[in-house]
Amino acid sequence: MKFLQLELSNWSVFRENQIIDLSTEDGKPIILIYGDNDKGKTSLFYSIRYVLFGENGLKSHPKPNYRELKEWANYHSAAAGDGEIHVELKIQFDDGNIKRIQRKRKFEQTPTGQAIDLSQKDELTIFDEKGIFQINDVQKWIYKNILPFDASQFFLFDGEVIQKYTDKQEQYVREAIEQVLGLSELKNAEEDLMRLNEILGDERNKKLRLVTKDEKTQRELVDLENSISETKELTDNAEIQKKIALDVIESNNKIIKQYAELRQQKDHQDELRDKIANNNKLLQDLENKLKTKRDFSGLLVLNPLLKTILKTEETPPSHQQWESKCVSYLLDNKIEKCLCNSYIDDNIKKIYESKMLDIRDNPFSILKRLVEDTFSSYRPDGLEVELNQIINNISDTEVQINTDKEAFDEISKTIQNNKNVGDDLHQREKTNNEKMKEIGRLEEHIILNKKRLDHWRSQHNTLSNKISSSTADKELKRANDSIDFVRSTSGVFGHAFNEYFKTRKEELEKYISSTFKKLTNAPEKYKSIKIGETFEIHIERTNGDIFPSHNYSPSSGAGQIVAMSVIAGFNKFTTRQCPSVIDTPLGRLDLIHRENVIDFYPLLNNSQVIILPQKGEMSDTDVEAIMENVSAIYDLVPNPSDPNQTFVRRRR
Amino acid sequence: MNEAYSQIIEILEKLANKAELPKGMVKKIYDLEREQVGVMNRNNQSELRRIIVESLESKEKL
Repeated sequence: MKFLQLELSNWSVFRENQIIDLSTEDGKPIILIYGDNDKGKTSLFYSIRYVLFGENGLKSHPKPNYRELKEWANYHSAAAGDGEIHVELKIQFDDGNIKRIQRKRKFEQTPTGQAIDLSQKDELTIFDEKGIFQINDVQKWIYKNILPFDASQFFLFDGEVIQKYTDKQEQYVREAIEQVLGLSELKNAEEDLMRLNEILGDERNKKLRLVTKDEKTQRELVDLENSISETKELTDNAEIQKKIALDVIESNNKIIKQYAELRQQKDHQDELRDKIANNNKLLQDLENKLKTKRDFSGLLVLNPLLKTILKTEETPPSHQQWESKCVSYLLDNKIEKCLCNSYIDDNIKKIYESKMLDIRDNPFSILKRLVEDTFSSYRPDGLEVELNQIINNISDTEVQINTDKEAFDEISKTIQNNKNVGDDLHQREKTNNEKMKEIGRLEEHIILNKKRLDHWRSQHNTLSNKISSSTADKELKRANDSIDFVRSTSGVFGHAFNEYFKTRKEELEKYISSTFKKLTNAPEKYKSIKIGETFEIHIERTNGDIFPSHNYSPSSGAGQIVAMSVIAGFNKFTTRQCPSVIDTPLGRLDLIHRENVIDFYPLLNNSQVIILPQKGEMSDTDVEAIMENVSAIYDLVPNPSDPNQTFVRRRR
Repeated sequence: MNEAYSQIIEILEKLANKAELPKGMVKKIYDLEREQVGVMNRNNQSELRRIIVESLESKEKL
């Protein structure tokens, strides 16, 4: 499967309609789309997630406010009154079939002009060559034919956040991995077949009663069926209550987690506040220091003077010649500023003039002594270096202060947008504790009821078998056969899951390990990467030590390399087909890892790899090695007449 | 369909063969479940039943 074209308008900085040709040639699976910060690179990435999954697709954004669709509507269109988000993705499937998925949402500015209101829901349509492709549920069609939502995190991802896969895995990550590898189908089939067997069992029991002539046996069967039915109902209710309790806990945990993230951001904001204050103080100190040093800046002018003196000494001149040389040097060069670019003010000029007077009195010896004395006390060369260093430090500190202020403001915005989160935190934690206790009670209840069910079903089976063997009823025989058949089929799916782990998991581990060795800058240190029964990741060192990945990562870059290897494995072993789209592809990697990862990208996905780097992240030299695999390069450029708008320009 | 998909079907068919179940049936069930991955409430009991009944009938004919 390949993405052929992306079209968008009123999406973030892309106000005017933009069409990006994403088609790739054979052997050239890569498309590069370059953009600087705030020029729409991440917006482009999220437009693909949005067109496929709607607002849900935005939930992976690291900043909470960008998880809401209204943040992506073009602000200027809203300011002008209203507009419509429009994103359209043209896809070619492996059988050659082409479809266009179009998602639209109207929006308008709120009456106060403070925010954006969206219309109720997306307009989601699929088109084929004949026009609108008629299906009942378009979103389900996307899950089935392109990607299930959870699985999308391994195909459409942000390079900077993928190291989360090396953290302790949460349930949703495991489920996503099972979706990608095609194992969810096995688990679900086993579960659905078992449910079908329960229904068939109930139907069989009814038949059994009908063919039984003996009243006592009939009563026994009815009693057993009633007991089974009641206990089953109780168990089902307990399961539902358990699920409700789990949902409450999960929903509370999301808020608790969100609150913890906000707390972390708040702590980070406090750190930023201190950092900004410290840097402002540092800036003040540096400016004072510069001022002090500038008072000596006239000394720098002595540098060329000394050189002149030395030259003069090499070719002994008359006193008049020497005087003339010095004066003409100073006058000809019109020296008004010292080397640190500071103006030579009147005070310095006065000192200088006094020196000139000295020159007039005894031009050679007095000036030479003055220069030499001054040099030995102040070292003007060192002073120049020091001044330049102070100026650079001032500039760096100013940049750092501005960057920190931006980050500070961004956090303030996030906190403001989520100001109510955490108000009822204690209540939520209390509820979670109560729900956990409730789940404990329900589980005891469920286990007990299941034991009862097993007992009654076993009694029922014994009785059924006795009756079945004494009757020639065809329907009953058929019902029994169906139950056995479904049980065997369900077993096949259960075994297939285990069989996968015996055979395919080993191959997957080998592939991930070999990819990791290609990507890491220290392959000699590592033996392999192991995948656990629930897909937890372990790193095996050459000396045999095995670390869970969340304890291994010496840095976020190292974590990114492990995560990238795992993703490469999932892309290779997936039963699904989808191009890879990667925002910030090199994240926080160092130079060697960057080269390794860039070289690997053409192999990441069998069909297509769309990469969205920052301009400084992947230079022309960096991508030279993979240029033969690149089908197209685009730049995201600001509109010269409106810097708030971005255009997409094809470079090659 | 890709190699990984074929490998899973191969595993399923091998196990079906061992359990003397029709090979085509396990593929049909797997594909049916494929449509419902990621869907909150799967609703495939009637289709699943149809596949089972058809497969059982064809097995009986053999």
